[in-house]
Amino acid sequence: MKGRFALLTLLLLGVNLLSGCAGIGEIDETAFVFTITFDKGEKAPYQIGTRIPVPRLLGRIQGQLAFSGDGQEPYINTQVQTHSLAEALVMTQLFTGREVSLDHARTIIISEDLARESIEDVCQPLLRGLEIRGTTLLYISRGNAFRFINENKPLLEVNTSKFIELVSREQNVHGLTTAMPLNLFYSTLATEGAAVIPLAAINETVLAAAKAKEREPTALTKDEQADREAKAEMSEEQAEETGEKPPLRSVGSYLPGSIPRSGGNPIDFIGLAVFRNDKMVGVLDGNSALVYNMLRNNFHRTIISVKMPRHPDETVSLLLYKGRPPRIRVEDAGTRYKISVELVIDCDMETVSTGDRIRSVESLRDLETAVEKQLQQWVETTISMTQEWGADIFGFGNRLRSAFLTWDEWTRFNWSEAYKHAEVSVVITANLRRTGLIIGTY
Amino acid sequence: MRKSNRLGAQELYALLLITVSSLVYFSTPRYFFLIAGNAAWLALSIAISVSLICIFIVNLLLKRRPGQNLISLNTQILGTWLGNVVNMLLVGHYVVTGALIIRLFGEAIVLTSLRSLPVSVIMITSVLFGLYGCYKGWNVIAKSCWISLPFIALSVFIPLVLAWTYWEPSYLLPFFGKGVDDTLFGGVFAAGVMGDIILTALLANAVQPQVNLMKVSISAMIVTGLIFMLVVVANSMVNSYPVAAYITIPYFSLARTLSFGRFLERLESVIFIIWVFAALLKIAVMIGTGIYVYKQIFNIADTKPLLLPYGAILMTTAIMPKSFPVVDKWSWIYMRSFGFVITLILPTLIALIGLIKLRGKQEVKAQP
Repeated sequence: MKGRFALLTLLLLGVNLLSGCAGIGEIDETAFVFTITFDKGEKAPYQIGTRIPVPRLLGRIQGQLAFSGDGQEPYINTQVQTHSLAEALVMTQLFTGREVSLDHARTIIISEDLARESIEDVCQPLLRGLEIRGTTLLYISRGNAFRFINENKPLLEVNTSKFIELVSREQNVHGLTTAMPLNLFYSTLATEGAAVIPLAAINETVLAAAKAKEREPTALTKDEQADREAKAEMSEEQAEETGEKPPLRSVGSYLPGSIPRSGGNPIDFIGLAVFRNDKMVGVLDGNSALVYNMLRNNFHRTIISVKMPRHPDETVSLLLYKGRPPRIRVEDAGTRYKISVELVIDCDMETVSTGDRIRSVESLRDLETAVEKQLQQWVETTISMTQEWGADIFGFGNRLRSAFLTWDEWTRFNWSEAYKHAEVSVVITANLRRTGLIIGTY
Repeated sequence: MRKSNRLGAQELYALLLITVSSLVYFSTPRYFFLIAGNAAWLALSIAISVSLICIFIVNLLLKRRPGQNLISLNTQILGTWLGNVVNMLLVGHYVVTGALIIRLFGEAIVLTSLRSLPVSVIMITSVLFGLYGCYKGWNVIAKSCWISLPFIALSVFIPLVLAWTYWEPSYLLPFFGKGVDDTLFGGVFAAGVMGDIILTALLANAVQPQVNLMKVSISAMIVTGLIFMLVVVANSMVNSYPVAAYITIPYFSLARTLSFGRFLERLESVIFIIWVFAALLKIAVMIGTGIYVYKQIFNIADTKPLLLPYGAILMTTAIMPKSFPVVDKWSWIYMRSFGFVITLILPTLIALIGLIKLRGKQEVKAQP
C-alpha cells in the first residue's frame, strides 16, 4: 500500500516536469513575436505588423559564428490589414507555418496617425489577452510604425528585444524620454485622464546617407576624397568670415528624427507623445521630457549646457541629478487654481572651456543661477504647453483629490478644464556640488 | 489534557487563515471596487468589522457552552426541528459555496495558465483532492494548512512588497469613493465574504478543549482582514479604481505587473503554484465542513461512504453555470445574500438568543 502511494505521489509530482507541454506546443513549433506595430489601415481599421526572430539565425549571430551567407535577415517583419490583433495573428500564421505567440512581445509601436485618432481600441484588447504582459513597452512612431521596425537595425545588439530594454533604461542616464509600460499607461490614462508615451522616429538624414553609401559602386578615388575635404574646409572658412556661430541648442531641444548626426542606427528615441483621454494631442521634445521626469519624481540625471552669465560666448556643461523629490502644491486661489512647483537640483561640472573664470564662489553662484533660469524656462514652457492641451500629465490634479468626498464629485469637478486656467509658479534651486578633478585652467 | 485526533490552536488558526483568505486569489477584491469605487478598502474594513462582531458574539456563546459546537447549539436553542433546518441550511451553503469555489478555481486556472485544459479536468482533480483530504480527516487537512502556511504567506506578501514602487497613494482618494451609502451598506453585506470564519464555531468540538476559540478566531479574522486590506489597497494604488474594478483576477494581474530590471519577471508563475495549493486546501475544507455538519445532524458514525456521493453532488452543481462570468457573478451575489445570512447573521442571532436564555445560569465546565 505504501509503495503504491509513493508511486502515485511520484507520478503526481512528475506532472510538474511536463509543464512545458501544457498547451501541446513545442518551442521549435512556435514563432515568438518580439515587436508589434499598429498603423492605420486602408482596407481594414488597422495594419498590424509583427517582428518575429528566426531563432536559428539569431542564435548563430549571438554566438558570434559566421553569418550563414544566405542573405536571410535574422528577423521576419510582416504586416497584415485586419480588425484586431487576434485576427492579425491568425493571418500571420497562415504564412509562417508556426503557431504565433505573443508571450515574448516586448515592444508595441503605434503610429502617430493612429494615436491621434484613438488609442483605446488598441490598448484594451492588449490588456485583456493573457499573452501580452502589462510590462510591454509602448512607443509612438512619428510616421509609419512598420517602416520604423524595418529600419531599426541596432548595431550593438542582435536581439531587438534586448535593444529596446536598454533604450528604455537609458532614460535614467539622460532623462530625455521615459519608459512607459502598457499597464502603467492605461492605468494613468484611466485615472488621471492624461498620460504620455515615449516618441521614436526614423532619422531620414542618417537613413538617406546610409542608403547612398550602400548605392556607391566603388570607393572614392583619392582626388574625389581631396575634393570633398576641400569643399568642407571652404564652408567652415566662409562661416568664420561671416561670423556665424551655431546657436547654443541643448540636446533635449530635438524631436526624434531631427537630431543632427550621421552614422549608426537610423532611429531616434527622444521626447514624448501626450495623450488626453484616448487621443494623442501633442508632442514634447527632450527638454520637456526631462521636465516630465523631474515633476513625476522619475528623474535620475542628465547633462545640460548653459552660457556663462558674464561671458555669454562661453558654455559650461553640467551633470544634473536629483537633489530632492519635487514639492508640488495645488491650492484653490478663488477664481482659479494655483500650482506651486519647487525643484531642488544638484549639479556637477562636466566640461568647462575656461576654468579660470569659475574659480571664485561668486562665479559658481552665477552658474547655479544660469541653470535655474534654464530649467525654469523649460518647466514653465512645458506646463504651459500641457495646459493648452488640457492634459495634466504631471498628476497635479491628484493633489486635489482629498478636497472631494466622493468619486462622482471628483469627476464632475473636471480638473482638466480647471488645469487649463491654473496659475503656475515655479521655483528652481540649483546647487553646484562639485567642480570636477580640475578646478581651473592655466 | 490533550485529546487525540483533535485540532490544536495552530492547526485551527492555519485552517481558518487559509480558508478565509484564499478568496483574495479570485475575483472577490474586484467586487469591493465595484461596490465602493476607490474606497474599496473602506468597504472592506466595514465588512471585516461586521464579521468580527458576529464571530465575537458566537464565540461568547461557545465560551458559555464549552465542548459543544454550533450544530448542537442550534438544536438546543431553537429546538430539534428548527435547529436541524438551520443546520441543513448550513449543509446547503457548503454544497453551494464548495461547488462555486471548485468552478471558480477551475476557471481561474484555465484563464491564467492552462488555456487548453478542459475545466472539468481541473474540477475533478480538485474534488478528488478534497475528498482525499476528508478521507484522511480534519487533522491531515489542518496540518497541511499549518505546513503550507509560511509558503502561502510568502506568496501573498512578495507581490505586495515588490509592487510598492508602483504605489500612488492619492489613488485612494476621494475618501468615500462611490458615496457614503454605497460604501457603508455595500461593506456590511460584503461581510459574507468573510463568512467562512464561522468554521471556528462549527469545528468547536473537533478542537482540543484547552484551545481558546475566541482568541484563535478573532486573531485569524484580523490577520485575514489585513491580508484582504493589503491586497485591495495595493490594487487601488497600482491599478486605481476605474481599472481595478474591471480586472478579472486583480491579485494575479498585480503579480504580473512586477518587473525589476531584466532579471526578475514572471514571478506569477512561481507564486501561482502556491496559490493553487491554497485553493485546493480551501476546497478540501469546504467539502469536509459540509460532510461534518451532515454527519452530526443525522448522527452518522462513519462518513467515508458519504464522500463519493457528496463529491458527485458538488461536481454536478459546479458544472451547472454556463460560463466564468456567470459563476463569478453568482458567487458574489450568493456570498452577499444567502452566504451573509447563513454564515454570519443566523449564527449571531442564534447566539444572542442562546446568551439571553443562558443569562444568569452558570458557565458549564467542559467535559474532561
